[in-house]
Amino acid sequence: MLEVRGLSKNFGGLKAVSELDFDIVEGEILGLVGPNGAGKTTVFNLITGIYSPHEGEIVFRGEEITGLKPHEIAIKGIGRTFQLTTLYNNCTVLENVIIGNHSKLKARLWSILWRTRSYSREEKEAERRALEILEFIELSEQRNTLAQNLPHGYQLRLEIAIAISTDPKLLLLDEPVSGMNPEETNEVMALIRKIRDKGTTILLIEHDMRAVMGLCDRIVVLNYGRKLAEGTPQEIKENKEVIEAYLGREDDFA
Amino acid sequence: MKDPYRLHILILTMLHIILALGLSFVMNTAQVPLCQAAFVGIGAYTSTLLVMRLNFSFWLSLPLAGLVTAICGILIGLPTLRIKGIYFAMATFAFGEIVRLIFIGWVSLFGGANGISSIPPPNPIEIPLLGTVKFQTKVPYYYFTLVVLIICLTVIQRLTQSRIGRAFTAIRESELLAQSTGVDPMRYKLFAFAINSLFAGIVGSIYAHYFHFIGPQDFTFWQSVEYIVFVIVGGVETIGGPVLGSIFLTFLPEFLRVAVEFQVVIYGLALILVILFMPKGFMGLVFKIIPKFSKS
Repeated sequence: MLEVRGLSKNFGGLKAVSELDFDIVEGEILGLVGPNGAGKTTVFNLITGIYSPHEGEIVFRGEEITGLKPHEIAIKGIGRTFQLTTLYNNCTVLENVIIGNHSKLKARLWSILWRTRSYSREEKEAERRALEILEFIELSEQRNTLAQNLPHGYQLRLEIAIAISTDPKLLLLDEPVSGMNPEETNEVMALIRKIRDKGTTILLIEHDMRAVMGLCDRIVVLNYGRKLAEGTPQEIKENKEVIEAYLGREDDFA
Repeated sequence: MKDPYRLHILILTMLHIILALGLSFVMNTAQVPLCQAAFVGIGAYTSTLLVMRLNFSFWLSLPLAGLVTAICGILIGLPTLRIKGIYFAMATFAFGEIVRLIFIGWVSLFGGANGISSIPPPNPIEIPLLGTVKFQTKVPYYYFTLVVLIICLTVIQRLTQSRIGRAFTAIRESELLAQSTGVDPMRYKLFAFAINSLFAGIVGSIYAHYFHFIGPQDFTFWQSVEYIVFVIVGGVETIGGPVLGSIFLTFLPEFLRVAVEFQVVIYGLALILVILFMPKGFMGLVFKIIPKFSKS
């Protein structure tokens, strides 16, 4: 579904990502892990067009998307969340999700000014769809709360809700369970599985090892911008290089 | 309603509201342009020249002035809207000054520092039920400006409630997130800028034919700043904000009957007080008070 080939990105002299290759298979949950500064978020920003790579290409569903603008990539069907929770803070939860619907709406300037029937229908449809997403993500009760007043766990959920409101084929989640307690983590893990089961492929950055091991079908491990290992959670757990580079030496891993 | 002085203030207020409405639209995409007066000037001179040199009817030159100004807005918006914050403000400031200097320098076309005088009033117009309306007193100007204001308010209100308005909110709140959901920030900033310059051009046209005289001193940088103060004092985020701000800051100096020099002091004071005590402007205050009343 997504092929990354020879991807490199430098910041000054620092090779944030170098010659990275990996594939995402349709319908899977792929984990992207690695120590802090390994280049995981940079990979996200390269895929979503916030950065353009120095070398390499990114092919999404048979189409090259390298160098497209972020909104063009979003319209092609790649949704994402951000490492630092990013919401429309001064809008209500429902408004947040309706704004996310933007690319699905077609109304022309004329029909907006004239309030044509097709426009009103589309607006109602957008609200209905947003409520449906809130129902799915279990945030319906908070729909009239301002996003900035939500507790942290709900904010992370709302971020996912905004991302899926664009109806993405591929969803990139940047630390979706960071700062959550075990119970909340379980809930969000179940939610992520539910999103996958509805037909969305997922690429996930996460530090919470329990979540990564429990959720992912496959895992790609980055270290210093390079791919260190790739495989099933079981394979990754047993990979000596990964254990040394990422988890530290065996004796101080408890 | 017959007192010409009061009518004059009301007409001025309505023109200010239209300008502030357009500006708030642009400011809602987190950009502050410092060239509003230049747009008004472009509209005013375009309309005047069309009527006086080419014998166009006012009723044709009015929309054309809006259109020409909107095109200027798009042309200046394309390069400047790519930059943000203070740099955008500076670029638009420079544009505004260039426009003013052209008005002064191109004497044969714009009349130089003396401006253009004896601009004719709008042509008489046949209106069903009312008969022929002639623009001889302030009353027809008043009603005509009111109609334009209502149209502008409706346009802004409908746009704000639509996906276009939501895209503006999204860009203001987080451009990064907006892009990740498929909003093209450049496109919407340019659209807001075009609508704003369209409004400013129309105001300019009405202004020229109402005052019968225009000159470069009517379209200075300080004028542009004044319009921004209207929006900030009223509050950017709602339609009510620019309306309230314009009314307050146009009426207040007139009612206090102070000299023109003190007007600037009042604007400055109002701005400082609002920024310190009500960061969301008058409308923010209104929204704070309403729930308290409805509870009791």
